[in-house]
Amino acid sequence: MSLNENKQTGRQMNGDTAIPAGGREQMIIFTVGDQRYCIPILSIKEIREFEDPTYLPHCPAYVEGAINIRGNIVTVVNLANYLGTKLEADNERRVVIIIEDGVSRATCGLLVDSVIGITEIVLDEIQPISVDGGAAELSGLVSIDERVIRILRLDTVLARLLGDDAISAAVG
Amino acid sequence: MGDVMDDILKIFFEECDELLPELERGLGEISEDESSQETINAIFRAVHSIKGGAASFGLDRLVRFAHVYESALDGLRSGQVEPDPAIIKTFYLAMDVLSDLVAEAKHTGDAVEDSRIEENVQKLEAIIGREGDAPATAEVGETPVPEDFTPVAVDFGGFDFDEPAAEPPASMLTVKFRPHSELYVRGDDARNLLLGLKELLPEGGAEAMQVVCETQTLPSLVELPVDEAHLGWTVRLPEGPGGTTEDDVQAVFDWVGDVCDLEIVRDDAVEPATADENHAVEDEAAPQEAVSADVSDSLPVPQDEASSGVVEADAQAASRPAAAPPAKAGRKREQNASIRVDIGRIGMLMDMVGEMVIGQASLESALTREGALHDQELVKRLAVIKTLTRDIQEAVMAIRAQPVRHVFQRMQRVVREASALAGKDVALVLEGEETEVDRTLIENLTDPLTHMLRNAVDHGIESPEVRQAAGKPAQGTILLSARHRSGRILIEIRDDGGGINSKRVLQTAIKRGIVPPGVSLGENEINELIFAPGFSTAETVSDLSGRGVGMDVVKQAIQNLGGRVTIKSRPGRGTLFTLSLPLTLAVLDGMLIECRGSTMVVPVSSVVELVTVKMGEDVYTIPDGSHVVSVRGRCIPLIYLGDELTLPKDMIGEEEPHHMGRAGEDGQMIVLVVENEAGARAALVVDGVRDQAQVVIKSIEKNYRQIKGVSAATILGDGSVSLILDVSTLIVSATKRIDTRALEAIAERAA
Repeated sequence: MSLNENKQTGRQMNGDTAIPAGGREQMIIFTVGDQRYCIPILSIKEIREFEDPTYLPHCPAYVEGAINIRGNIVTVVNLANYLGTKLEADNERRVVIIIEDGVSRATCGLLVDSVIGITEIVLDEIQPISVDGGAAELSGLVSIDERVIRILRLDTVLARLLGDDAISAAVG
Repeated sequence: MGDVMDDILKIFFEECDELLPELERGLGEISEDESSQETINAIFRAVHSIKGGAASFGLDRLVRFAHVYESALDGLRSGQVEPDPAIIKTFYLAMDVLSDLVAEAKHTGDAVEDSRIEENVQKLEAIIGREGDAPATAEVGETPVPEDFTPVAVDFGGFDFDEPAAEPPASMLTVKFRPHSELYVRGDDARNLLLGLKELLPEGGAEAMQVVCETQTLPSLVELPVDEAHLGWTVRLPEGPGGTTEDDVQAVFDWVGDVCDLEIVRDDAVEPATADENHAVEDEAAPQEAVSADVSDSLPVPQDEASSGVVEADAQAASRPAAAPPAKAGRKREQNASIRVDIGRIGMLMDMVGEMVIGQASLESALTREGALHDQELVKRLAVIKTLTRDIQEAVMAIRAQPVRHVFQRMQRVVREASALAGKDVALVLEGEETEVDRTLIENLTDPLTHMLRNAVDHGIESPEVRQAAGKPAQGTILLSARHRSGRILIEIRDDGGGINSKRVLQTAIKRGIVPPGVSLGENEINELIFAPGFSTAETVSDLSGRGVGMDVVKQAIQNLGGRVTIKSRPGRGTLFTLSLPLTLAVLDGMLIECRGSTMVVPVSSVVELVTVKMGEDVYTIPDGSHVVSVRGRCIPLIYLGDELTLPKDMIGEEEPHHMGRAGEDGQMIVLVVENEAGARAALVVDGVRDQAQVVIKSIEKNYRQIKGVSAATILGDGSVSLILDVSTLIVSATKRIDTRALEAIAERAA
């Protein structure tokens, strides 16, 4: 289920806040609990079925465990726990989205409830949200077909995984 | 363009890294009187190649020094200087300067002081001076040149030594060369060669050179293919003082030796004809076609003899790598062919082979589930794939293996420098340099070994006076040996010094507060104290060692590599340090244990025993709430692995026990007694032991942070991730103290 073919000339490797005006970007939309989120398609390496991960000792609650992807050990983040929402119980459709950071080459998996599809977002339509509101996990909101979709900040996810203990303690 | 040059420069430095040990080995052989002419040639070639490479990058300091060195070695080569110990020592010191200069050029080392260079240059020139008694330029034709040795250009011009008194009579050299098409393909030109020859002549003597272009083989203009070479040249130029030597001419053709037919004939009436004959036979690069009709009269060689030589010369020309100077040809022929590969690629290969093993295992388990393995044919095919996979895995591991020679030879210098500083005479004897270990291990061995050898020189070996008083030879000996034993490598450092003064060690340890006063320790325990942090018996802090950071750093480094250090000492006779190390850092022998449904790996090296204990009888609660277990009268702190690692509790007993042991009956539990390098023990409470296996170590820190109690992870045969436990940190967290050894020893003694 690799989505690598869907390459596009987007400049946005990370879902961070610096969004240039005028451009369009392909995003993948997925659900966590009853919320919809999206991340840039170019940051995705692959999407896999969920398999039982190996538990990592002393890990924060949002870390589901580690899985083996072709010889690399990749941590899986339970996005529902990370974002503070509830997981759907016994969901057959849940998948792990493997993302890679363009700069540090760090990889992690995001456990989501389901992937809905790909959409093209006009960057101008993204509404920024203030960090003061306690939403360091998100870089903005965009509404498509009357629904509000949150744009996830991937660099925050990875930074927490790689050992910013102060933040992870607060969240976990 | 800059990148290309950088790459070439990198290759040059890599070559230096190979040539310098070769030089060192050669010098070692000479000092042990095992030298042959070939050894001397080898060290000469090594210095020459460094000089040549350095010259093309404009590394002037390096070139200048290498040049003097080379000149001095030339005396050795020509047999005019006998290799006595003093000269060998000078060569050794000069080699150190040379390697420092390489490091300087590489920007990995400090700049070499001019005074040091100057001092060594003077010593080397003293050697050249000795050889100066004999006429240097008369060397050609007089020195017996070994059969497979191609002369190397030696330019004495820039150096101030006695001009030869007796000059050989003036003679003419006839140089015939015929470039192949490849020479032009490389962008070179015959014009460059001619200019190069012209430069050999003294200023104003250019008219002494006669050049004839041979056009006999040139087809008519109509038939002439534009990209083929048809021209040859015959150049006659005067030989002798101020003129040129055959070696100089060879040097001009150094870089085109493989794409150009070359023949050099001395046209000398004074010398007997036999000399001419010798030259013609020696001239490996003289193919038959160059013997064209118009010059054959000047060549007094029987045709059949020449043609027999041609076959060999051609074969050699073919085996010679492009752009390698002919001086290297002899060596290249002896060496096994090898290529340089980026280590990252091998790592990738390793990963993929690991994946292949997992893929094959999962294929097998899938087939087993389908019940397809009743098919004998299928079973056979699968067995073939299994064998192949294992062979490939071993082959890939073997690629990473390297002989320890590289590290060991570097130690020669360490000992040399250390003994010079300490004013002692110490010889380092190497054994088992060919023992192969993984490359990563080799890289990490240098620092600990350096420390240990410095210590052996500084503290182990006594001063010459003391040694002689004790009836030992004034020269101390350190034996550094390596060998394989039961899947590990054993490195021994044995000195014949005074041994460890255990009384003084204990006093110092008490003074430094490492052990409490009045403690009674066994001999071995006292010896172990030298590994304690902050321990140093040296009264004065010397430049060599004695800062008190030596041995504990060594021990730490060895432990980090998964190894152990042990000491044996006999007063007055010497000390023996034994390092036991795994062959590779990539693979680990692990015991697969189960705990609350998770499979984890404990390094076998730290497992002491596996015992079943009765909960009611053997386990005691101590006042601080923790538990200890008594195993054969020894109390060991108990670690409930599941709690320690915060494993989720709800997964117990889901699957069938298919392992060796499991806490079956109530009131019993399985504990794995583990030991850290300091000898402190703890008992891990586990649910069962499943298997013992070699596992490939994978980092978890690449994509996650460090986990307390876990050193790394691995991937099991079924493709699942399994954690490798870090026994040391587990023990530390269980016992709440780091230095458990001494306290335990006290407790033992008190009991």
